[in-house]
Amino acid sequence: MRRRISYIFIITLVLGGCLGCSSGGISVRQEQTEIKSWISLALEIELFVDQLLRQRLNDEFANGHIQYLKGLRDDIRSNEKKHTVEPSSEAMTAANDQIRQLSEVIDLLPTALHNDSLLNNYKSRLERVASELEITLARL
Amino acid sequence: MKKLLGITLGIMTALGGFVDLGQIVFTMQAGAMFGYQLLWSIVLGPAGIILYMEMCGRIAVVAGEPVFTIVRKELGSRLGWMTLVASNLLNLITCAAEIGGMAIVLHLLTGWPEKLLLFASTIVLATIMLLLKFKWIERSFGLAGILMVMFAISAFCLKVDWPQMARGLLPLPHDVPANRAALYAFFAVGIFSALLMAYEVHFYSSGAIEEKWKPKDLGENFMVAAMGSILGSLLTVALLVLGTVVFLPRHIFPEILSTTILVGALPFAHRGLQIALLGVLATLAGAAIETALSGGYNLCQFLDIPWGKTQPPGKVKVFTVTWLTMMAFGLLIAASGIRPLVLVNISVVFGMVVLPLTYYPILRVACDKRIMGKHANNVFDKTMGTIFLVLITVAAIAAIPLMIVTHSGQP
Repeated sequence: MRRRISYIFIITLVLGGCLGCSSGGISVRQEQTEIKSWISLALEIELFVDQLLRQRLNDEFANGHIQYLKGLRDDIRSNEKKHTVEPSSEAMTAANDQIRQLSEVIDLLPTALHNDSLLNNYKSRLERVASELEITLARL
Repeated sequence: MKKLLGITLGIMTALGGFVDLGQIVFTMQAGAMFGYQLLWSIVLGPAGIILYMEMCGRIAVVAGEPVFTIVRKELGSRLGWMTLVASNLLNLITCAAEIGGMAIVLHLLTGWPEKLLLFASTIVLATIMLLLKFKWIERSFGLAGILMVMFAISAFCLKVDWPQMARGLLPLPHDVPANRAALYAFFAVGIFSALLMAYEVHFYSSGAIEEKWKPKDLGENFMVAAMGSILGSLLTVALLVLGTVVFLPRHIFPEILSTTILVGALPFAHRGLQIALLGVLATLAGAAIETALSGGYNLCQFLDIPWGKTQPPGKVKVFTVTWLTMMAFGLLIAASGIRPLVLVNISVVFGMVVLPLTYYPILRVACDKRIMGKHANNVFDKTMGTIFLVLITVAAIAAIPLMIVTHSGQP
């Protein structure tokens, strides 16, 4: 009896998994998810820059964190390539310029760790990128 | 003094098990998306784990049977093997994630190459496990894990909305729009699962036998289970608070470990950050040890062959080779470049799926008067155990579909 209950449980799990698979493709709006990821990344870097300006981080942590932020950027990019052949809307094309700027800031960060004026400049650029992407997201 | 030291086992299980890599990132992500609204799941999880840890500790003391001996006897050979393979695969994935996380933390601490640190830290960890006695492993990593309290201090220093937090104790998703209901459910199941990870009970029950608890220690057994889990859950609440206070208003969805650690010391300067890093390192190392040893415990207990960290390695060869193999394969998986957080996502979701197959035999044996005598479950234990088993089963059935529908919790 107890084994029968366990087997019924396993069969229910498999059926549940199949149900999930069959409904998986319907609900997502890929472009929205991508834009949200870029906005989150921009704001995440802004938080990091803010901590750098307050001189609360040491170099080891700061350099390591930049490396992981770059990794996250590459992950978002590769997800984009997997799902989107070309920008499917005008809004998405406009977003690409902001994404390029964001990417540029990430690449320039290691050289600006102890330069407050550069960091302040990047902070305002990141704020702008995030708000522009928010506008794009609203238009999608 | 002896009692105080006994509690360390609970602290290690709590910090190494409750607050592992999955817990840190998963809970902060939940706070970043839903604020305090999932607080109830952090309260519910420890209640379940206290109940089942106490039960499996009691079985270990009274019947002298660890978890996988019970699994073999109650589920039979075929289903037992399936549970063993699934549990050890999950232990392996979790171990790989923790090892990968350790390398990240060490890289952030030292700036040395991550790959080098990955190999070096695994070798050091395996050497510590080989050389140190069980009680010293549990004491050193358990106590070092207390540095995680930095996250709680940070959470307390930031602006916590206490009335809003209190509302989160009720499982009513008042501010969740319909199109995010699946995400809310995914994170509820994920937090619940991460708090109830099966390796915690495997390790706890085996530890009780390793430490030769007697029936007179049962009171201490309950205290250890309860205190350890409550401490772990308080830290988990702190992680949710940090996610809510820092990430939610900024619209950040944290996807990397370093961001979550940065927030763990947000109000403080270098020293605070280093304490947070060391705390995370200790909990990840503790969890890596627990999962590797659990792999050895599970296999040997299932096959009914000698096991135990308190035994000389030569006398328990299969046990020693198994946990060493778990560490080695964990290292290989981590070195393959798969991100630790991806591995953690898999272990949390599939861990939920396997959970009923471990908890169901525990409940059955704990209720069996022929085996447990006067220490069998009373009506309260039996009722609560059944309620939690139903909840766990529902969560297990929902886990995979929710993972697929939400793309592993992507906002």
